[in-house]
Amino acid sequence: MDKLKSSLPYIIGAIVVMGLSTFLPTEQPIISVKAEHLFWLGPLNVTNSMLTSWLVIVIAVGGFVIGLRNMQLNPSGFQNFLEFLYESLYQLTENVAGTKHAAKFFALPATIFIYVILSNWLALFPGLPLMGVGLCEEHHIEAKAGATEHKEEAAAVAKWWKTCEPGQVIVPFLRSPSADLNNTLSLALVTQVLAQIFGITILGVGGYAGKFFVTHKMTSAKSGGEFALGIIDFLVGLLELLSEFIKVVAYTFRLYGNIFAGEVTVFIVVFFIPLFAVLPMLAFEVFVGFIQAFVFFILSVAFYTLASTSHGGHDEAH
Amino acid sequence: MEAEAAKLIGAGLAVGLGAIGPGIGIGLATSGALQSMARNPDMSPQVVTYMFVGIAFAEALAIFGLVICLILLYATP
Repeated sequence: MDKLKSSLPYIIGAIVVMGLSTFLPTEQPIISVKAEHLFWLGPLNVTNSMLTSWLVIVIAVGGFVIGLRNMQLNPSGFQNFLEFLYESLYQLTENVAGTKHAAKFFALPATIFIYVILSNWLALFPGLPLMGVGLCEEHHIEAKAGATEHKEEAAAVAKWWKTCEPGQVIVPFLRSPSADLNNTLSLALVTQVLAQIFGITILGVGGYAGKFFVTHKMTSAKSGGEFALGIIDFLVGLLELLSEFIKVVAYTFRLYGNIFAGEVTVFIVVFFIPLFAVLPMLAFEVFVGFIQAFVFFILSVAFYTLASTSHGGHDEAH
Repeated sequence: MEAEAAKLIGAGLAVGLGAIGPGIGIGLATSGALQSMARNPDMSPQVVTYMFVGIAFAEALAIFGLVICLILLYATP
């Protein structure tokens, strides 16, 4: 009985909010695959995801700068947490890459992990991308099945609770940077180019090229059967070369797809049932955000390790 | 058939058929992880880590299908 009494204000508040939202309907949610444009900074098109990525950078850099002021030998508090983060990531790198190259392979993937996890979780901050705070912009009414006339009609009627002109929609100020293909593509390109650089510096140009153009079995063949195997090896090497480019696409779309799909799902569920139905979805999105950042990190380190082992080389003993 | 109807059908097929393979893949990965954890419970943290990596690989393919579906529905291709 006591619990019911203390939670009564929340129950009443929830019912009031849900009731209000039934009487203040909004239009079809506008989902855009591209990040929406906010303003021009010279020739640079600043989108809402770019703004959020600046915010993420400020938070990450500021967090580390503040946490590492007056570094103690026995850390406590925030410095302890940052050291825990650093050491866990470094231990993971050592498990995958071995102790010889772990220091080299650690820097970029760990940074990308911190950037990606912050940008994934910032999009879930209560209210941020979904709140009706943003710029009013002209809506390009797209043709939809059977909704065209209805949409023009609905857009032209000015409703008193809307602050934008009729025919305009609100573009939110913040949107997860990982829900922007440009952002994930740049992360993927940097990671993959660094993998090639690591391969070339560790194995040498000839050694690294020898992984993709495998000719030693062909040239040292003594019989027709061995020559056929050599040709197969050569073709597999070419396939490996192709897969280096495919990895860029995979990195990009894995992160983009997970985060964008999560955002769209939360957006649409909120438009159906205002408060409660979205809570399990948000919890799942927290989990997915962490997993995607972690997978980007582990995959980068794993591919760096693969790129730096010669064809037919074995792992170092753990 | 109108373009609009074709887009909707395509969107449904993309995400529906695109989830079959990853579903089987994730089931296989998890089953392997469970068997190895039952045999050797000491290795559980490592096994779970690599299971998640494998699941993320498989899930990425399902997400590719979902992205195509979203593009078909909400962005004029």
